[in-house]
Amino acid sequence: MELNNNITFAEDDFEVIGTKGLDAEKISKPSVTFWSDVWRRFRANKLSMLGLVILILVVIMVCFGPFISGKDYQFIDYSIKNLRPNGTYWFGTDEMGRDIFTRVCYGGRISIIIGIACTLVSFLIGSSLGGVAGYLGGKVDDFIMRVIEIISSIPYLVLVVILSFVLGRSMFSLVFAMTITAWTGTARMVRGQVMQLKGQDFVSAAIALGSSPSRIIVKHLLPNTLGIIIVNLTLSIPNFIFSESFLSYIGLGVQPPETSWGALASLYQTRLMFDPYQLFFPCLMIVLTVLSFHLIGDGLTDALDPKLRK
Amino acid sequence: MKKKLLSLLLVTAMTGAVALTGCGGKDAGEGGSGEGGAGDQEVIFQLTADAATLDTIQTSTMADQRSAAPIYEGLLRRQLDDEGNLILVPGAAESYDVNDDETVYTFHLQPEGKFSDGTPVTADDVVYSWRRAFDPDLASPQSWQLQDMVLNAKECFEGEKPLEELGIKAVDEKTVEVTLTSPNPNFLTVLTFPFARIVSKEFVESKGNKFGSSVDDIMGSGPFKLVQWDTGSSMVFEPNENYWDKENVHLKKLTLQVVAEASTLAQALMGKEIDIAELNDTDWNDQVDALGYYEVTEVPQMSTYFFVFNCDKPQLNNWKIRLALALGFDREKYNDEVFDGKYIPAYSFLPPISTVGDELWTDVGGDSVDGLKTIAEKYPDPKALLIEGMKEAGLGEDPSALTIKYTTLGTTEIVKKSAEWMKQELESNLGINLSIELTEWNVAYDLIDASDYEMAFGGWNVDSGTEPMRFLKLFEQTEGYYGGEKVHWTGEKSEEYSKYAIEMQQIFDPDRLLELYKLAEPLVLEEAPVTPVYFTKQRTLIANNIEGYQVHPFLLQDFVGVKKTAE
Amino acid sequence: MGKFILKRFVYAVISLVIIATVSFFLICMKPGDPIAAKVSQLPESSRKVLVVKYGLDQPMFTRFTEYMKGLITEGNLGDSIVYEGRNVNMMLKTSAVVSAKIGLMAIAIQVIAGVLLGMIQALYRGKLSDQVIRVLVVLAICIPSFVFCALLQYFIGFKGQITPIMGWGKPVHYILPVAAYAIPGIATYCKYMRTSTIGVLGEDYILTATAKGCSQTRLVFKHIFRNAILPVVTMVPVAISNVFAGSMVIEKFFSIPGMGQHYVKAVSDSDPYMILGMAIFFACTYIISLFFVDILYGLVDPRIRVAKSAD
Repeated sequence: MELNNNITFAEDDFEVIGTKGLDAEKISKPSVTFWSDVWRRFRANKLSMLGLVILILVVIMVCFGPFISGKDYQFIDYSIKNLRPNGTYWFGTDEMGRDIFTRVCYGGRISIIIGIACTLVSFLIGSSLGGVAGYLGGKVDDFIMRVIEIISSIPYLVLVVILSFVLGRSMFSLVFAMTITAWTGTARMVRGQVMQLKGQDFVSAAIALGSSPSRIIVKHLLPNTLGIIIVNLTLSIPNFIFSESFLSYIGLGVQPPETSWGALASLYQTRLMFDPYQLFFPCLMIVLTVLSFHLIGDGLTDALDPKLRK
Repeated sequence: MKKKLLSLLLVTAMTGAVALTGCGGKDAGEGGSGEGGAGDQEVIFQLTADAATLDTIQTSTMADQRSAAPIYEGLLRRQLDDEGNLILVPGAAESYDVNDDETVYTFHLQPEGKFSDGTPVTADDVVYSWRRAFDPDLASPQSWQLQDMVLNAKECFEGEKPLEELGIKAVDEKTVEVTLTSPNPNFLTVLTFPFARIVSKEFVESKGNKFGSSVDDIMGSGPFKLVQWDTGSSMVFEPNENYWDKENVHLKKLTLQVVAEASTLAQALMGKEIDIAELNDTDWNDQVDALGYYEVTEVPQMSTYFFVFNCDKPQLNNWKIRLALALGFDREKYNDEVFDGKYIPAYSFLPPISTVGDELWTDVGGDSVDGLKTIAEKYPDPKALLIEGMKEAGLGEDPSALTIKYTTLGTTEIVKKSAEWMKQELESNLGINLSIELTEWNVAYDLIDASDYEMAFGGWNVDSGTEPMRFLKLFEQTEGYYGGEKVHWTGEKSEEYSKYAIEMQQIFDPDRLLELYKLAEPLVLEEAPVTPVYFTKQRTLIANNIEGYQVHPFLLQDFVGVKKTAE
Repeated sequence: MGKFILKRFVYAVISLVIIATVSFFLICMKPGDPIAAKVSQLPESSRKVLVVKYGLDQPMFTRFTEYMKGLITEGNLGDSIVYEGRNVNMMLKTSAVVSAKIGLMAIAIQVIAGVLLGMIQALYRGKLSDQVIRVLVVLAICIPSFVFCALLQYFIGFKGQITPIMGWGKPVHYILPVAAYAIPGIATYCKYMRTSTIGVLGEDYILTATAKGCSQTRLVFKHIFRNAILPVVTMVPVAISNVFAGSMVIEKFFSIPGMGQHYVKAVSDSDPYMILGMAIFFACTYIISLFFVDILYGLVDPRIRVAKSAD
């Protein structure tokens, strides 16, 4: 076909009509960011909100409880030993006449901090190394996996003893000792997830579009593993609280007069048959805290995972 | 005098037993799985820990020794007589002769003495057993107790002389002759100790260093043989059918059950699953006693627990500071509050069952019996004493500027409890700061060894004799376990003390010994490089239908003569 | 595949050598004296004899090479200093077997219960049964094991008289320890199963199957279950590798002759070769389990090929 090149345009052949037609595509609502969407969906989950409320209450109690009760958590007074819960001693007193409420608050500080600090550290190290190992595969993966094998096989209790001896028995040395080996679990799990995901089409697409590996890991792979990671995180906070309680039970935990929920449970467990309320309160606090983390975690899982969107 | 000893030894709480004899029968409603009639003759006894080894010369813990006791027999055995006194009775040896200067003993072995595999016990086996005890390659942790008694024992143990020169020889197949370095009244008692018991030469040589480590590697000539060992849980013994005195072995089966948790044990006792046990947990005691099924025997032990101060540290170098710490807490209150009164507050290093000659130390010791009380009267205000000491040591006048690190011995709940108590007591009474260093017990030993501590806790347990010397020698400067290298107690009084302590180990004359004890103990109490805290008691529960089980802190029960009766 | 196994084997050996070396030097650094753990009241001269006997006066390096020589030539994982005549090999034959029996039973219960509950939760997501199970399994893990043991012992053994309070030897003795081991762990499997089932429910093939008119039962078992269980399956080998180590708390409470007590005791006694030998053995089981995890990933999920991850 021959093109007619003889057409010429004059100035007024055209008229400005604005961009009216294109406006149809415009998003008139303010854009919903990822996180606000997450929060919206999280809020809709009643149980998870309940968990959040419980957690906030527990944190408030742990922070301000001792000021409200006005008692000393380490003061021994045998004249008031083993008192049942009452108006003055809300949770009763223990076999050395110490106020259990105040002790539970103090213990909670240490337990919660240990739980969160250990989880954060092992999450940061674990997910980044696991992500890299899973995505890059090959030699890097082999190397990281061997490191994981080695680190998780080193006798953990020996490490705890050495660290508490070298650094002194403190919360720091406990957190340090517990995270040294704990991140390996997170790393292995993230690696497995990433390995599963990296063969999927959206990753191929991202590679084809020239995304860098770090961008692919951070923007595409990790968000998709977030669901499983959150489950892992919510399970690991109680695990750390329990690891600490086990260490307290075998005498490697925090040093007296400091205390933790684990140390309290370990001490009061011996009086289970006689003064069960003593064991009840630290356990109740552990249960509430762990439960709230789990509920929050469940809510987050549902809210975060793109696949779980309703 | 011996009567007195008995009355003190057997503080039997008969509450339960009386109630039961009163009704003359058992409540029909009570059901327990371990409850058998007299016919089965099975006894289950409890220990808190499992044995580490059942090699005679390697046994060291109480659990080792008590588990080994029914399996191996020494030349002599110990029993309680009708009055409750410990006596020596024939064991592997039927009889013995002693020469005039009491340095050569000749033992005549039981003609019928046999190991559980049926081979006869010969003089060679005895000689072999003893040589093992002093073999430097085997390094027995206990044989040092005989080291100074038997001729050449020390030299052999330190590898300076061959084992053939040890003062023991086989005269003929059934006769053994032992030569001592010098006469020693304690010698015969030591023969009953586990490390001096007899093993089969042939058997041990065939097992090598595995001897004593598992059921197949254990054999002795005692009344029972081991048939099953679940490490960490239980041991099962059956009678040795070749035992020379098998007529007096009544039990058909003997089970040792390891139960470490007090609450587990108490519940098992409530269910009558265990026949003989040691339970000392105040809350549970009442419950179990109320059951009326167990007879309770409380026996004071020859063991003292004390604080150790490192005199090398500047803040503890002055004796007034140390004594202020020693007097700065109430021992009665400590025992009542921390231990629910289950121990005995100690104002001296010498447990109440210590004896001088045939007399009880508490009868003849006079003012020294509760020596620390006498000293406390001299210094009624420990805080003033502390400040005085601080001034002398150039530490100022403010007690709150003084911080003392307390290294605990172990990390169990009771240790934590006691440390927290002590912290509050010393801080409020003296105004100092006590910082607790929770320390694994063998790490604590390391730190004491290395003098890397300020205030620590120590204990000493004697399971063979009641002489005060056994405690007082501990603090002697050169040889004492808590001597100069660990505690660094120096000065005139320390020299004087050491002089007495050395002398009391060399003589046997009761009058002079009493004098020495009275001279020495106040020195260590007042200078306080160590200060006594409490003595322990052993609390044994025996089911009513068990007969013939004897309780004594030194007695390792071999279960000969123990039987179950119909109720 | 053969090449893959060989390569993993070589890696495993290298890892083990590094683990043994690092552990040994850590153990040597650990404070605490095994001789003091063995006999606490000992005159200094006798102590010296013992130190020489156990070679504790030798330099660290000599002790390590001696140990490795014994390990390689005789397969001896290590002799105890505190427990004369006892060694790691013996402990494994007796105690580890006991711990493994309890542990395997418990894992079986955990997996079955966890998978079932997790699926129910996912299928009835947001409904009452989801919430109830969610709270229940979490409650089960909220209690420290020593408290849980005490509760079980008191209510089932003592008050209920259903089982013996403690002891070992009869089948009935398994009940309490297995329960104490199993129940808290259900939550882990349950949660993973729930998450992964929900993930599977959103996949296109489920939609396709539903659209094709697949029956409910067939859908659940043929499509959902098989795909959702994959991540759970990959957790099992590591859990199994842990059973040999036992649980010190459970064993102590119920007087069970298992491995956990020995391990904690060896550490607190500073019994060097016992700790080292056990650490090496546990490392072996762990490495083997990781190997199986990798194989399982490939088997259960065709998207991951062993070759790919191994190259």
